[in-house]
Formats: sequence, C-alpha cells, structure tokens
Amino acid sequence: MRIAEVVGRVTLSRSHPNLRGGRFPIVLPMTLEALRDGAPTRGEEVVAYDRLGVGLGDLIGLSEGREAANPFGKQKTPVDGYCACLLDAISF
Amino acid sequence: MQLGRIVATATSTLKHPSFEKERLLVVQLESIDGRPDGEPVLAFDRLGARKGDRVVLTNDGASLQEMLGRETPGRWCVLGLPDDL
Amino acid sequence: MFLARVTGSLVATQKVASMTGHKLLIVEPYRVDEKGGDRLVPTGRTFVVVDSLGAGLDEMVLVCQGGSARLTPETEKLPIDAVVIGLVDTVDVRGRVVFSTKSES
Repeated sequence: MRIAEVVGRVTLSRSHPNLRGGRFPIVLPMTLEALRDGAPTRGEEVVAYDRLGVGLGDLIGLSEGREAANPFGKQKTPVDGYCACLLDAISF
Repeated sequence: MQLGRIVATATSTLKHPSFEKERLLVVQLESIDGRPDGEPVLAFDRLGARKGDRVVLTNDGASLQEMLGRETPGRWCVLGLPDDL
Repeated sequence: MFLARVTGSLVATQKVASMTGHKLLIVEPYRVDEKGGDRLVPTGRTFVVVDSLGAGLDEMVLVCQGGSARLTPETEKLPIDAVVIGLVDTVDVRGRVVFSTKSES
C-alpha cells in the first residue's frame, strides 16, 4: 500500500457487473516530501475502487496489484487499485 | 525483501476489517546506502518497531494473508529489525 | 486502474486458441494534466486490451491491468494482462468536470 491523496472521481455509464456498488476515486500517491513538508510532488495517478466513501482531499491507503482484489474473496472482480483505509492522522 | 526506514506512524478508523487492531507504519524504502526508493508505503508490524528504526520489509502477499486473513488488501509487513547495518 | 481512449481495434487471425472470440482494442492511456489539473491529456503510450463491454472507437474507458485483469468470468482462463472494466461517463478533478461524454458528442 502506498499513501495517496483523493483528487477526483470517475463515473461510469457501464461497468463490469461485479464492480457495482463501488466508486472510482482518482488518487495521487504521496511522496515523502509531500507527507512531511506539504510539498506538491506526487506519483502517477491511479483510479481506485472504493467502498469506504472517501472524499476529495482525503489520504488513503492504496492497495495495488493482485492484493487490491483480495477483499472480493471468491467473487472474481477485476480491480488493481483499492481504497483499503482512510487515514485519520500521520505522525512524524 | 527490501530495506526501509520507519518515518511515521499512521492511524485509521475507517478501514478494511482485516486491519483491525494492527499497527500501521509509514516506511520509506531505501537502497543499501540509505537513499529513498519510490514513495513511502504503509506496512504492518507486530515486532514493535519504532520511528527511526531501519527494518526489513517483505511484500509477500501470502505471508500477510496468513497474518490478517485471505481477504486482506495489505501487502507489506515488517520481517525483521537488522541488528547492525 | 487507468483511463484510456480507444484508438482502434485489433484483429489477429493467427493467435493462441484460448483467445478465439475475444475482442481486442488498442487504447491510449490518458492522464489528468499535471499543470492545471483541468483536462485529460494523452500520454503517447499504447496498450492492447480485452473488451467485453462493447467500447467503441474514441470512447474513454477504465482499464484494469496486471494479474487482476483475469479476475472476471470472461477472462479468467485467458493469457492476458489488461481488460476494459468500465465505459467512462464523467471525470471530475478537484470539483471540476475535466471530461464528460456529453460534451464530447
């Protein structure tokens, strides 16, 4: 999981049936400078799947790759980015 | 496995159920000479690692699934604290 | 996942047997403009993806890549690494609409 900032969202007119009930925020991975000093540097954007209800400006734990689909268990779901947690605070 | 340094701790209330009661650390992965490598990651820890510690992380999904359950979306966990590096 | 625009379709008569009957599209990933954050810009990269949702030429789609691309009943046995999982309606960035199917047509 990387830490990412929610900056937008995507809405779909049609989607794979197993994805229903989720939302698709656009998130930017945070660099160390961004987390520590508020620098504007970010990694490359990712569209994630979200069931937590995250909003603009939130920091989340972003699961990527095969792990992102683990929460769906036996229901095969094509997801490579997943909002695993909403971060309340980071203390340095 | 990769080396990293614990730069911060994170707290989360709204999270995947498999993360309940687990410590979340913010770890900057580093090369052997201590240069940062990529964006920091969130890692799980049951060894009691502290801020500033150097750690060995594994991104073996299977070992974390053993710890947190098959449906966990987590990936990185602390494998050890090097004695001397 | 990433946003991409369909730039073409691909037909391969000669292919591994399991791919028979699966539609392949050529797509170009798009990103939110780093400077203004107010539009989607092409990246110049190209991917070949499997599509079962019926995406058309020039349509903006959401693509899942890597091992997860096989996590659908249609693709679970295919030797693929990218699949269309949604047809995009709108994209908002920091409260601003940067893409909308309506304004495209």
